[in-house]
Amino acid sequence: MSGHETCDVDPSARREDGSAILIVVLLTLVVAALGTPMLVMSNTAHQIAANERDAERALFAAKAGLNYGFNLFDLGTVVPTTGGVSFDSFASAVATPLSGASFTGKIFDVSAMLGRGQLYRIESTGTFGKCSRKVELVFEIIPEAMKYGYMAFSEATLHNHSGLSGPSFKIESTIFSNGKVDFPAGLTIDGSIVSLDLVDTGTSTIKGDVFANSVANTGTITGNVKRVTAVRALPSTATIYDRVDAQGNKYAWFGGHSTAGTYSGGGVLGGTNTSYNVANGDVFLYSVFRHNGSLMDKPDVNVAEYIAPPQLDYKAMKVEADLNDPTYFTTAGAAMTYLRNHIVTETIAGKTVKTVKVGTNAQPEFLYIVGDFSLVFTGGAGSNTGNNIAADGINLEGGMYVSGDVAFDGPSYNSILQPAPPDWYQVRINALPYCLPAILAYPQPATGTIATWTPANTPAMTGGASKINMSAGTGFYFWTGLTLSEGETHLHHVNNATELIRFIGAELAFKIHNCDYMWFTYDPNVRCTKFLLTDSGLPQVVSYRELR
Amino acid sequence: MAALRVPSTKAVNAGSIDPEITAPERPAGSGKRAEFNVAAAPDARGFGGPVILAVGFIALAGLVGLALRAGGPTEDPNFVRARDSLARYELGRTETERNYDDPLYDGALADLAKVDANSSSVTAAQTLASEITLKREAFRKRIQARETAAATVQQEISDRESESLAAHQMNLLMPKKDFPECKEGPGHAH
Repeated sequence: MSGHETCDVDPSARREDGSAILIVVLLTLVVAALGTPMLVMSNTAHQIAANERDAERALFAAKAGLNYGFNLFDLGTVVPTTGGVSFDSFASAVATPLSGASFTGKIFDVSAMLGRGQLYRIESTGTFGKCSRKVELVFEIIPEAMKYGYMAFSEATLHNHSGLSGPSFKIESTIFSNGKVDFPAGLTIDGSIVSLDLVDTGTSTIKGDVFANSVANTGTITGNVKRVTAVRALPSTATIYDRVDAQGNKYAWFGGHSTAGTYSGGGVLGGTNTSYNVANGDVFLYSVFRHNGSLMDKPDVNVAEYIAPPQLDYKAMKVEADLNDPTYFTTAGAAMTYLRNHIVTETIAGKTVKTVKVGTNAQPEFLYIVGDFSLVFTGGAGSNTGNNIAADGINLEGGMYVSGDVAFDGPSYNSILQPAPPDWYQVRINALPYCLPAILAYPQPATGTIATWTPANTPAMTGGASKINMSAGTGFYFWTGLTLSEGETHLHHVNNATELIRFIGAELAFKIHNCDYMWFTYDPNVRCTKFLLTDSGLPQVVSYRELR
Repeated sequence: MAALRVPSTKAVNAGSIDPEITAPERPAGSGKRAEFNVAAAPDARGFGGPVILAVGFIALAGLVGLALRAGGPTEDPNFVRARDSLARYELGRTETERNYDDPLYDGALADLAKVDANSSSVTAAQTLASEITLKREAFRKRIQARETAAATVQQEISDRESESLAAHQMNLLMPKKDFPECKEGPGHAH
């Protein structure tokens, strides 16, 4: 302090001494006060942007997972279950294009939960960095094979033995065939027909349109005729193909039908007669149905597309058989014993009959029978051994799978002894309300056990194995539901109207061979039928959600 | 407040004719006398003592903690980083939902390889590293098996379709013309 006292300094100047540093300090504080929040905000904005980017990439990965999951389903590589079957992007071929992102997910079969056909849910979680997003897609498949009432994977032949028209042989349904459709005389088809080969009308009447490679009309077609080429869809990886549609899907000609065939015959044609050869880049219109499965008023098919036979879920059938009564039978004899234990005597409309009664509305039964299953009704006092059963008929609430041939036979209808329909039928199978197939006749896989079989193990449909065969000389039959046979379904009740087969549902077979007396009506409810898996059919998105 | 103290006057007035000086006495009041907590007075004077003691105790505890930390074995930061990053990734993911080929596992293995051999984490790090390696091998086997199974399914589906197509083609080439099981009726057109 003494130094200061010795300096000759202006007192007023001395009062300003040190103000500079104060100003600098103050300015520094002000700059710091302003700059720090700016820096913090800038950094936060960067972090938000980075998080946003990561979240978006995670969302894209999740969506990629949905596509991948559906692709696996479409290829048949995964079969959805109620508990969910997993998929992920861990394989290098999938992971590499995702550039650091990844996804995991599950595909659930929610058909039973919601009770509406084939309904599936895909959940996919995408991850990128520390971000993850989850999305969900619910989609529905209405198999193309179940949209038609008559579905012949190779051929449909109808025989009108009585020669009568009208209710003795009545078909209220569309018809599809990968091959020929052959009609007899005097039949009326109340629906449209799609065939990849020849439709021969005989002298019958077709009340809808006919889309086929070629048509021989010596009867009456009240709708239009359009002759088209026939194709079979190929996997996207196919390197050899004949046509590509507007979406880039690849196709091969089917049955050599690369050009529309001929129209012949001197029958009556109420509508137009046209032809079309499908070209690359066309929108391939192959269905007479809308996406939701309803029939179009004026369908415009420009190509006929092959429909593959379905696969079977053997394990699910056994699970169903194990419900309620244990009805998984490794021999037909065991099945017969079970049925004999379910014979009840009942009086209906004043007539007492013995009926094999299996299943109830509350507890329907699904019979799984290994081997051929031939059931012969011998009446209440008849034989009760072998294939014979001392009963007048059967009433099955449920359905059946048989690995061999299926046949029902019984005495002709006797109005004195047996009640008349609709009170009683000799063979009544009510499967439709339970989404069960009425009758499946299809072989089991040749190797392995039911515990290891997957739908992919389903033997090829070659037409030579399991058949459904109903001979003439019986009583009234009434079926609701779907039937499928690996070979021929031959319904041959030709004697008289008292053995009419009333069939409501759908009939699928390598070869459909129906003869009168028969009245068939397609019921769209067959689309919910269990155990049949088919990859043909356009998926419909029911809902899409971003869960988080 | 400290109490008022009056010094004794006995020694001062020794031998004096003056009356002994005594402290004036207040007449007893009729009201209740205010009560003073004489015993509390010394505590009030030493109020800062416990605070200092508490601060001292905390400081002492902190020093002891630091000393123990500096003197005892510590977890290797590489191990801690690897363990924490894996814990974050694996939280909420089941075994089948973990991608052991994720670069995160490569990073964790690299961190674990850097763990100081003298640190307390070396054993845990080795265990974690070998666990990752084993799980990664199992994971790769599982993915390989899955891809093989998928390819098999694809082949089965393809074979199945080929077989069906061949059967259909055979049916076209050799159509069944007669139906002996169908007794031809009068209206039969074929």
